[in-house]
Amino acid sequence: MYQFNLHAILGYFGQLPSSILVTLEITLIALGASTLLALPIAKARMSGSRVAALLARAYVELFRNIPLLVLLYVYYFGLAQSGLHLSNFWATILALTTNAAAYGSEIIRAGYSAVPTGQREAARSLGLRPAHIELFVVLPQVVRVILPPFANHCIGVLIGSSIAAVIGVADLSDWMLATGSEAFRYMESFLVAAVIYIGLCQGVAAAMAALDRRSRRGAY
Amino acid sequence: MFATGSVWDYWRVFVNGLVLTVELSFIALVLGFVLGMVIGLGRTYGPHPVRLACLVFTESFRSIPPLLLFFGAFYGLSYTTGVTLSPFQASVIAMVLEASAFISEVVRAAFRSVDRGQWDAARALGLRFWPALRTIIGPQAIRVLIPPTIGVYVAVLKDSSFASIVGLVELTRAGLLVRETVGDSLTVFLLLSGIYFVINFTISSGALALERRFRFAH
Repeated sequence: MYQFNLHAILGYFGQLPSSILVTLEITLIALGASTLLALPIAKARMSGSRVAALLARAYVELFRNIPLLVLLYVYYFGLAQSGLHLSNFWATILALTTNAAAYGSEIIRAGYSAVPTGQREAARSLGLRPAHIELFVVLPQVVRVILPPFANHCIGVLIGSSIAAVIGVADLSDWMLATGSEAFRYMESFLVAAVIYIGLCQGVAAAMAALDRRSRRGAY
Repeated sequence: MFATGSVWDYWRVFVNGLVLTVELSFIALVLGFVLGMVIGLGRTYGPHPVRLACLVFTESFRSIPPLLLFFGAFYGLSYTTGVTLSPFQASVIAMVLEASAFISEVVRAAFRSVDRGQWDAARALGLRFWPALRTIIGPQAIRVLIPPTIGVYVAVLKDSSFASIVGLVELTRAGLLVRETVGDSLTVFLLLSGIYFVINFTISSGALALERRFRFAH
């Protein structure tokens, strides 16, 4: 009869902090890079240029409909064959970034379309310069609108970062795979990793909710 | 790498993998819908402890990466229960847990979107909770519920690619096997991307068209 026994994998707990850090590192880099990439994509989709809008839409549809895991294989194995060798860490970052930029650009686009045109007109009639209108009038309102969906987006990227383990990056999921198969304690290692992922997601959600509350302070 | 033939000689392997991918994700969606409906309703209308339990279920399975769910369902459950699950069975379990968490959220949002006045009207007509839910609230909620459920199906279909790590020869694993034989990684993975894209894009475009139709059907 199987006995649930956390003590059996206690010896592997020492590697947990560094593996959690790798997961967070991948998540943060991919979130930052994908947001930088998402902004011009969203702008292109809203621009008057038909070609730019079409290209942006093609990007979004393409990267939203290909599984993250398959994207990772394209970058890690596919590109290597054509001479571009990415390390497993950067292949993971690239897969997450190109995927998250598609979702992120949709969130940003929805944020911009939620700002009434009257706001721009009012700012212009007050004599503000175009750059100042963007930065001080439109952007703060966009940020306020997109914070709640962006929180879910952050959690999506965090969960997606587990693809790293498939190509051997030593993240939290990799800790689970390694611990499970070395100690033959699959259920224990699964539960430990699952609880940590749930905790990380709750942490991200709480942090984003606090940011959301802060952004609403003094509004309206 | 030792190479034999071209990727295209193995089209049958891709077709078989694709059939399994669609089959697996469809079964997971149907079962996930049933479980997600129960949990979503429990979270919306249940007594306090039931609400809390459903909330914990949804939040947990939304936060666990699919890679972990497939691993836990295949290796974890087999070792713990002594029942050896096939890769297919384990994949169904993992995907149902994931899909039901997402669908329970959709269900909750759909049922809460029905105007409160509908409940008052149902009570005024003398209907109790279940008849009111079934004949008045339910039909209105279902209409809101269908388009996002198709969105969940696309997500589930994409995540079914993780079934490859427990050895199920669905589309992604089929590609990996062909890659081992032929050695042409780039063609194999671009082909996989293309197949997934065509299926998912077709489904999500259909969902969008459906959404437009339902919006005008009021």
